Amino acid sequence: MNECFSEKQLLSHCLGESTEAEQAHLRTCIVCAKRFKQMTGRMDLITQTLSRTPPPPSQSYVPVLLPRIVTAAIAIAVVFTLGLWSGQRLGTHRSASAPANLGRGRQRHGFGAKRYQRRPSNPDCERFLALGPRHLRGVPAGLLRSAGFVQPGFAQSRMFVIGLNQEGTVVQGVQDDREGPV
Amino acid sequence: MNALADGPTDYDRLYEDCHARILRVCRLLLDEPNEAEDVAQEVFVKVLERSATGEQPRVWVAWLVRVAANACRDRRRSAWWKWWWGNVDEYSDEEHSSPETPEHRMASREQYLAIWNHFRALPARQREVFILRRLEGCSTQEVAGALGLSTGAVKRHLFRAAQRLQKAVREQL
Repeated sequence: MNECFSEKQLLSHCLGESTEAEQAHLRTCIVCAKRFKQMTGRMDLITQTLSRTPPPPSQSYVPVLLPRIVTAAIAIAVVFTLGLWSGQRLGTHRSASAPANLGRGRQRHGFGAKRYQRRPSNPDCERFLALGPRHLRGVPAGLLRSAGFVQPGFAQSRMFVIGLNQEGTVVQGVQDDREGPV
Repeated sequence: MNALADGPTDYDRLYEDCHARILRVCRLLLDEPNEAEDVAQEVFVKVLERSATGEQPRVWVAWLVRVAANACRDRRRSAWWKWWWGNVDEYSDEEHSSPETPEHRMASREQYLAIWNHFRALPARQREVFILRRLEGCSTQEVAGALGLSTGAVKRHLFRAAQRLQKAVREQL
């Protein structure tokens, strides 16, 4: 064999897989013999390192970071959920501090007690009873607007209704389909 | 070697002869000393179970190595949740910065880490073949028998593993 070994041939020889011709070349070629000696030295180093030294602790960053990421995500989710919950609690608390006459209206009519969303923008509204939206049925929108403090867009809102009842009184209430009309 | 050929009373001798070797194989395959000891213990429990049935392998060492390799593979598969929760020690720089043992002096710290990291990165089969063939001194036929591979496959896995490890060392020099 005239040509020098490739790295693969040299490694095969190092692993004990070589032909007679290759062994003969190794005995005559100084360059290949030197490379073979280096490769054998590296292989011995690998073997001795693996067989005689303790393995170092794993340096993989994924197993280290992953639980932290998961914990952080859980913490964020908990904070977000608590925020939502406390926000709802705050809304309920505000409804509890709604005007007294509205509370009477709720008791009287059994409607809107927990669904009250916001205080009336006009102080005059505080003396009006909370009634169901069905009482507003048939009242022309123009008439609602003519009440002055009635917001036109708001008058048709599903959750919050303000307008006139059939007796011509300005009323404010929260629509609640579950409880039905008063 | 056929340590149990004369009956289960040779269990102690087999344990003394082979436990260190099996433990070393398990440590190399698992990277986790405690897990490796558990698996090595399981292997020798299986020896007792096997000897109780009256069926005895022709060569106990090959059988032990095969059982250990399979047990380590099973353990690696079932350890995915441990990987997920990452009960992994942080790398301590002090631990490896001042090697004191002769083994540590053999290779520089970078080489030591490079060899181990590349070894860990090897596919499971290549790692098994390399351990049994190069570190445990088994013949190609023995490795093939222990792992259920053809001799050609053993040579192929060994060549690829050696190639990758050689490359790791060469890059550090």
